[in-house]
Amino acid sequence: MSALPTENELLLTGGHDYKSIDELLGNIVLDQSQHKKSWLTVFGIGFLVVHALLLAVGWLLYQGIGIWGNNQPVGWGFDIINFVWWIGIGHAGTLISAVLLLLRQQWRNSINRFAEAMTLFAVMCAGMYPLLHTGRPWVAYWLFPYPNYLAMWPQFRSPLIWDVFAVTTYITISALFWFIGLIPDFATMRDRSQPMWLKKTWGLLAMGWRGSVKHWHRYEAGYLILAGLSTPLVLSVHSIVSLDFAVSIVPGWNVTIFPPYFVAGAVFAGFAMVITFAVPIRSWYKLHDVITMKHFDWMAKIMLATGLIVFYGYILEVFYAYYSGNWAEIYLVKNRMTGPYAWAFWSLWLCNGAIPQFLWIPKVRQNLTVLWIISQFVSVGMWLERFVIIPMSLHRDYVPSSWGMYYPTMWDWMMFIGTMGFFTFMMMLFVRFMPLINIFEVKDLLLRINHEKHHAEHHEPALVGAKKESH
Amino acid sequence: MKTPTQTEINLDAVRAKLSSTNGPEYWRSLEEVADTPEFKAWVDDEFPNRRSIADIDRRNFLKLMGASMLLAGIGGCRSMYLPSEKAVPYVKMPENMLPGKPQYYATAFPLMGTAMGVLVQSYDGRPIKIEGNPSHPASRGATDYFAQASILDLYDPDRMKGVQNMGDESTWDILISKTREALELAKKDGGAGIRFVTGEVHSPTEIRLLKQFFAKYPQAKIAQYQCGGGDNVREGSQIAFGKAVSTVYDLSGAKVVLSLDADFLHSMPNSVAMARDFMAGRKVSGVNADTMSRLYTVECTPSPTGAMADHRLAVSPNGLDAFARGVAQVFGIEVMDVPQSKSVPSAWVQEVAADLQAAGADAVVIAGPYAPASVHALAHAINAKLASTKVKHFESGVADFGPNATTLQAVVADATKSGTVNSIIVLGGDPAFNAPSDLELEKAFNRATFTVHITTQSNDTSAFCKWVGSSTHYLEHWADVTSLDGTTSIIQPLIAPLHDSKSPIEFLSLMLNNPIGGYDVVRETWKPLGGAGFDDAWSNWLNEGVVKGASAAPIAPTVNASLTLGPAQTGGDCTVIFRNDPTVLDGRFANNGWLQELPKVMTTLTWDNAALISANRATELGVKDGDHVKITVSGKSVTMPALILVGQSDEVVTLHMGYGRKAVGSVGKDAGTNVNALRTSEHPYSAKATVEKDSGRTQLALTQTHHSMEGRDILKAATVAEFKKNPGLKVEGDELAEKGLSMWPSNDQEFPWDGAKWGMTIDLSLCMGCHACVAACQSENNIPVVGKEQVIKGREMHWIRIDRYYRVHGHTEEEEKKGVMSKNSEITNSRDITDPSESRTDILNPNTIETVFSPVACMHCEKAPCEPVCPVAATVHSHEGLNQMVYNRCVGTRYCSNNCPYKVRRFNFLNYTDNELQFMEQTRSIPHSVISTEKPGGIGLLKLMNNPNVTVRGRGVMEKCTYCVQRINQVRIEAKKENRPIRDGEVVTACQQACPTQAITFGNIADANSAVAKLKKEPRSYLMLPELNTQNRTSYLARLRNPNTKLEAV
Repeated sequence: MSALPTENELLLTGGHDYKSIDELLGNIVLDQSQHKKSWLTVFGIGFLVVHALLLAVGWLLYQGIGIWGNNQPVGWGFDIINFVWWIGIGHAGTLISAVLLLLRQQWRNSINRFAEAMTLFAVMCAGMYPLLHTGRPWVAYWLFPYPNYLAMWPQFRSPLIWDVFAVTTYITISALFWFIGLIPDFATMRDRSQPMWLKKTWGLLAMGWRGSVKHWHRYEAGYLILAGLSTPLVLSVHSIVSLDFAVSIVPGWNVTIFPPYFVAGAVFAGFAMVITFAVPIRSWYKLHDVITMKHFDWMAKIMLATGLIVFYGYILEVFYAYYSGNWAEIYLVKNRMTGPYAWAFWSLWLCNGAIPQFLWIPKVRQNLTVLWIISQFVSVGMWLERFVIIPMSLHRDYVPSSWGMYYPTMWDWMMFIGTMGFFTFMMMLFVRFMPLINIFEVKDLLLRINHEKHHAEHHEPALVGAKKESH
Repeated sequence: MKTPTQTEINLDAVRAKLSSTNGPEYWRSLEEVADTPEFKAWVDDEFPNRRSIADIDRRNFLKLMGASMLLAGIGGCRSMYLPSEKAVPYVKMPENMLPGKPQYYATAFPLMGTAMGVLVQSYDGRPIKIEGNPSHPASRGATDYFAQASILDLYDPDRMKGVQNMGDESTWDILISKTREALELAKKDGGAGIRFVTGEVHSPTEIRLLKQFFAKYPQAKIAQYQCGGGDNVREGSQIAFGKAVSTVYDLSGAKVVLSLDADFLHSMPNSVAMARDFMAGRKVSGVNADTMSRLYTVECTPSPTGAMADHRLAVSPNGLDAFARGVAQVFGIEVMDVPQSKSVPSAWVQEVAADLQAAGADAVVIAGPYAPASVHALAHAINAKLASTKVKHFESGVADFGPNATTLQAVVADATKSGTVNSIIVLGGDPAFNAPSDLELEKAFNRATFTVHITTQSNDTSAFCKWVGSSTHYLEHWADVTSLDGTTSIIQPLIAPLHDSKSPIEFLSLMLNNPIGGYDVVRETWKPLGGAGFDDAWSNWLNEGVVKGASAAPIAPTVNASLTLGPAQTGGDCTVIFRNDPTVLDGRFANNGWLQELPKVMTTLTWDNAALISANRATELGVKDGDHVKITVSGKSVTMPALILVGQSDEVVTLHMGYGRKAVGSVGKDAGTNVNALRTSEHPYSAKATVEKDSGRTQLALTQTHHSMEGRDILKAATVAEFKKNPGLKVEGDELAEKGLSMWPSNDQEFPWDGAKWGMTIDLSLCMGCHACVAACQSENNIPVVGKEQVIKGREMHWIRIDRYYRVHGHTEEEEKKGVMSKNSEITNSRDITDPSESRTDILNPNTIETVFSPVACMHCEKAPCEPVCPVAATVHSHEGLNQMVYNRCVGTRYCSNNCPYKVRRFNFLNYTDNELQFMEQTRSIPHSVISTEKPGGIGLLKLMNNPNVTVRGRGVMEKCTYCVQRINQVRIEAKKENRPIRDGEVVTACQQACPTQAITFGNIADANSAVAKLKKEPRSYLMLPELNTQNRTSYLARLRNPNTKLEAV
């Protein structure tokens, strides 16, 4: 046995065997007594806040979006900020599941399941906004190309239509991906649960999974295909969301660097949210063995990398405004830096530019408290980024006589906090009633570790390449 | 099955049964007590008496089914196509009336001592839109916003209805009999106890009836009171001519005009005609700008006339007097006393006088209604010296009742001191609110035993009167009116009275025991003029809107050799001046939502009045816009929000009357501050005052919060000299924009079209920001009122807005050295009260301010940025180049508005159309919360006013200027019927029609001979934001100023 642990060994500690993994992870669902007060508290808060969301949406539908702060010239405010913010948060899930799968990154295994769930719930939160922000939500279905007696299609030149396709595709693929990944674990749950009704429920969800070689073969192929489909989505969804702005002629929106910069920002925000949830869940359910410090280290590094890309984008925006010589762009930057909302701009630079630089320090990446706090700054920063882009560009554009200010109302806040409550509520339900960590993939990891050990013991002088390759 | 009734009842069995019962037992029928099996079956059957289907034969079955289906079908029709009430079709079609075709009737809109001839558009008997009457000299086809908005007063759900006695409902019959009782009693002493209180009486019929009344009751008296009325004007002409005359200015061909605090372009009687004539002299064609006339404005508070001036001097009322005396002195007029005023530079006096003298008979001096009498007298004297051809005098239009005339003060004195007044009859108006508060009119009302107010709206005066009778609106009654220049019009009704109302004429006629309707009373007045052909003449007058032969001939009074001007006033570094509010006037329009929400020209303020102060005074006091200031005049004080107005003299604080009415409908409730408490009958329109900062602030609903162009070339303005040097007024970058570099094929390549291409030009040289277009657009296009809160949020719905920017000119070298402001630099003056980060850095000299207006509506871009971003194709382009909104298709994403560089789109954030304040009855049951319930009849009444050709938009829908597409289509239909192309000038948009100065031109730009196409080739023509290459169909003509080079350096 080598003295240093291998990379895979760092991802699964505690000397588990297959059975103990089943117990550790499966029992979160099967042994409901594991859910303590902390779960109940967070769930309770989420549940209450969901009602605030219902109230906010109910009043919105009754009164119209005049209850919000949107106005002339700021047609989009919290509605679109929050839409983009939530969509961004969803991105980590897809990236972890799809891209890291294709890249054969074993460390994704213990975090992918709940990152995917986060994606789903975040997209649900995001999806509420474009629907409800319309003046007449009861006809929002006109954005879909459906056959109708008027032979009226949507207007395909509009980026909002691209959005409709991007987001619906995204949520469909994400849901499929998530569900297919769950099938082997549903089978495990079926096999391990005692009451008949529970067995039947899991059995239905497992769709007749018996773990035969044929099943595994098909599963692997299907999963890989979906991963292949999801991978472009990581890039496309947020690129298209960014086109809502980039296609317009509003100074501050009409920026060609938006697509890559939005994607990087999305991944940045997504990982921050994964850390936000992973830290408490790990501690509640004693998952230190499967979500190890190595995981956090890598997530922090990805945050740092994407954060740098985003910050580079900010700097470029300033540079190009001056380089363009365009008075509207120059004024935009001036207004961002010194205008009435300058606080938002500088807070953004602090949250997304300065604070993530602490992640260069390994000790910071190892300190979960600090890491968690940095994640919160990143979440706030990414929200501010959308605030800076959306209302701040609109409130002072071309014609000074039409300039105005934007103030969100209590209903704006209520709906925003409400979606956060909804997200928390759904996450808590997920944690309690679904296997939140991929059981069979952790077992697969164990297999690999054992395999490596085996190689190390018996074939020490074998080819170097064989070490990583499993058969 | 047989029903029990058909069964024979076994009576014996019934008897037997009854005999066997003990005690009282009740039974319903013989059948029941017989208890036959048939009866049992009948009871058991859920639907007795029906006929079994089996009993019906085939023919009857088919009959019944056929009838059922027919009835079902009719039932469906009723809910869908038929009104739920009984409707009666025209059995005989009224002459010339086609359903859905508008009709126009000529009538006249009386206002503040004059009248404007109007044509009222009526659909199926409902008046819906006011247009100017081209054959009336005070209108010439144009209107102002009061005329436009007057239609809303007709349908106001808060209008006075029927008769009220001490707040209880009563009837006209009772009121009339009570009135006659009072008159009967008064007969003894010749009516010594009767007082009429009216506005200035301008109606020949009303004068005739009143004179008849005074013949009967020689001791009765009448007090004519008009807030902001012409006391100074009359006094001035008394000094100059020895008698009161009314003066009219005919500014066509005027070369040099000096305005002495006269806002003759906007707010004076007859302004619409004066603006038309004056602006005709400002029109510049091609590069020849030498024909431009010149305007000097010396004024106490900024006005549109000041904004249009080539040179503007901000002065205090004392400074105005000093200036007038100075100029008169140059003309060799004896002025007794020329005081020194620091705000009046002597170079100004000299240069202005020289310029006037040079223009001779083509020059004119106009004094404003609030200017001191001495200024009026001097203006008359100067005009006489100039032998100005631009001034016409007429016998005073205000009715002179000789010995029966009195004043409000005398009425109060008679009522309270001697107690001789027992009946007060108020015809219209609201003197209890808008007369100076030291009069204490309510005392007079309380002492009188019989007080009656004939009024269209319940106001503070009606609150004091025991009897209130609802007056008809001018669109509901027969009357007549003489305007300032002696033109007389018959006011004919467009609609039968909506409520149980009588016109003042009818009431007077009833007081004279003359029970004939208004129609006959008015005809009686004019019969002598018509003579034998009266009936023909009468219909001709109605048709034309002007009574031919009734116009007075001008008179030529001579100016007295020596003018008794009195000593010049001096002292006081703070003068408050009281002016009628620009939109709600003396309070009469306080319940008119259109006028409340109409941005006031100089301030863009809505729904409120504010103390207008200069930037310097604001700095001194340490107040920002909306901060409260306390204004004290001889012990009485009022606290109200301050508003910094660029161009305001440092010595003057302007307060607008008309706000703060206590008794008002739901629209005007809680709007603004009543400043009448500060006015005294001695100094009703200006007073020495102290101003100090007070605690608290009010958020002011300004529609434009940023007034600097931020160095952007959004609006082009130049002096004549600059224009001559650079006729295109090109700036750096314009060439690039003109090349129109585009990746896209041009619209002509993409969609070849040889039909009409609609386009518009707006000549900024002619635009004085009068907002008539805004009101006209609101009326034409069913634009809702959103209320103060929504305006503060920036959600006003006006499709056309008037942008107002400030520029600086004529600064001194010293200032330039100091670097305070550079040539034509824009002022950084943020009106963003919510935005403390921007501060005013310049200490502004009000005399160097140039105010420029630019009406902005949808530009109808050929490459419209709004169109490609709409996800549902709700905004699309028409063949003729209109950028169209399809309301039914709009989902309301607001992306189009975000992407509009001109920000001309308006969004229905809430259900504004049905939530208008007028509909709502507000009850305050919980502190700080207003519970609104729908007013009975509210929505229904206002719906009558909607233009049937324009969709009423609901919540969540985007809207914007359509170039009045409904008017284009109407004209197109007519042209097609006549099989001819649409003629140039045939399509007139609502804004264009209302514009007093004809600044707006609309037409087919594809036709090179059209007026609009020619204007687009003018060198001054420019597009807004051309670098965006949106290829706007609306273009502008640059604003030109014609300064006096000798005065430039001052």
